[in-house]
Amino acid sequence: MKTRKIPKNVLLLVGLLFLGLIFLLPYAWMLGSAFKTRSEMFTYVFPVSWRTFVPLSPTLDNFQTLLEMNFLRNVSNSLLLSVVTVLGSLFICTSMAFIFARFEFRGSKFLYALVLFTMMVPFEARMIPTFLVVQNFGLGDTFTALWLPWLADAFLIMLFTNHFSQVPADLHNAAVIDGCPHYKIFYKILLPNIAPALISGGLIKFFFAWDSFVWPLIILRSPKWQVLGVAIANLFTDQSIAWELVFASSLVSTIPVLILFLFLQKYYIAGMTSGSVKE
Amino acid sequence: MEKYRLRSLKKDRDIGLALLLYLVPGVVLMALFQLLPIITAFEYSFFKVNLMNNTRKFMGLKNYATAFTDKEFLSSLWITVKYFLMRVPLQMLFGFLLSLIIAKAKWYTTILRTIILVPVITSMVVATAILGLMFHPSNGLVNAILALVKIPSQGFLTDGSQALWTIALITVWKNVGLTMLFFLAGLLSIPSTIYEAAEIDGVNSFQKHWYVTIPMLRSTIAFIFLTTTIHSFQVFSPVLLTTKGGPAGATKVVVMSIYENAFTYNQIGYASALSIILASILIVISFIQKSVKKHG
Repeated sequence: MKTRKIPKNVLLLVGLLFLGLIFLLPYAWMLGSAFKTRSEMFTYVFPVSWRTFVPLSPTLDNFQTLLEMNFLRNVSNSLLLSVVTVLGSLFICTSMAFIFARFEFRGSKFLYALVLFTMMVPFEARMIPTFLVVQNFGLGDTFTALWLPWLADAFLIMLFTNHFSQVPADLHNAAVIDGCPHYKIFYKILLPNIAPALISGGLIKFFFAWDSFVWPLIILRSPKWQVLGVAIANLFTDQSIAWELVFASSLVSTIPVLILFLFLQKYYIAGMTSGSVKE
Repeated sequence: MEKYRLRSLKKDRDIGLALLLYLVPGVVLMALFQLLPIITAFEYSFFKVNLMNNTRKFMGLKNYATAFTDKEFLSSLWITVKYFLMRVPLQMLFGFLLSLIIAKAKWYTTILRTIILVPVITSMVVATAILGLMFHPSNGLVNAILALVKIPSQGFLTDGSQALWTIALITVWKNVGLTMLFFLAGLLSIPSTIYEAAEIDGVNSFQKHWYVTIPMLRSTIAFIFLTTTIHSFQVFSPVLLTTKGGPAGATKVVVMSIYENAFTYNQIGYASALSIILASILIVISFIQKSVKKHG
């Protein structure tokens, strides 16, 4: 038995290593190349060796170039956009969810069905008409246009409605008996009770806003509010791709979401899977 | 759960105030930015629209009639179906296998799960850019690795017969972690007593999954199939970023075709009609899925 067990473990280890490589190799390449000059990067691709991934003479030139291209503005735009989107959508979606979970009125079921219906028509199918509507409102080329259309988010409304429904009704009833008006009960009693779901929803929305690309690309004309995604895309789709800059900017874009994810992973997983096993 | 009922605004002032504060803003936003665009698309789809001088001409159903004879659009539908056929089985199979690997708590499960989820939270632009450069025909890492095992350099995104596959691989790589999570949530909800019973009956591990796991996961599989299918039909940014529909139209998916009609050819009315067609396809897919679930 003992002699058979060792090869099996080795096999497992090789398999795991291979799996890990599939998912991490692109990041290793990005990380190393971000600190290389273009010539060093191209010299060591063929044949593959450790030099492909490790910079022999690390340089910060690429980041310097990005700074000169005003890349910091794109980063701060994306950061601002993400924070505004998260706060705005948390407010809008929790308050709608509070109503759907706790109140009945004429048309409330229909309204909730309508919310779910909007999930069936994804952004890509609404891209052109949303562009037209936002333009007609005179919001084209404004920062507002980047976040306002994405606040009422059916996925988050559903997530929070499910969580509010699980808060014991007695909590709410007791507060009503004590004379607390419903609107106060929302933020005094119910909201603190779904704190983990708030983190889940906020995180999911942060990743969504940080990922912005197609929408800012079509709705913004001037570079003033342009976001990270479009800046990286411009580097990447340029006729003569500046590979080293694509790597450096991608690294900058990945670090914030990676840190958030590593610390809050369990909330992300809980939020993303909440809709999958229900029913 | 008992809910508070609004009988009349006069009697239930308190509830009315809560609705005004918490329901109205969200409903207004939803109406303006989710429902109005769908209505606008409907309206525009009956017109020939010129955004430059703000004129429009009524066309009736002509935009729709054109769509169903437009070779470019029909081919984009077919390419989207091909992409769907490449991506969905691949992503579901790998997602399922990965979920089996990390379902049992071992020393490596947490770290492996984290690693597989990193592409999911990486932005689509970054994922596409890095993988796109990896698949670069002359300086890409993938060809360099293939050279190690004496496989000649491939064209990938520049080769008409490989480009769509390459885009499918990029999107599967990015999204398979999510599929894995969904399968995992399903796996963890299967009662362990069922497996114990199967083990007493002496089944091997393949039989165990074939006869127990997969049937038990029916609703999970249906959910994953639906979401992955919808994602396949809305694929866009990886195409826009890499091939822009090329080479020679080999990767021109539906949304790429809509985008081109709107912003390259300035055919807003026609692009609206195409958007309505795409939305209808997605809604039909959702409803088919729902009715299958009810009767199945």
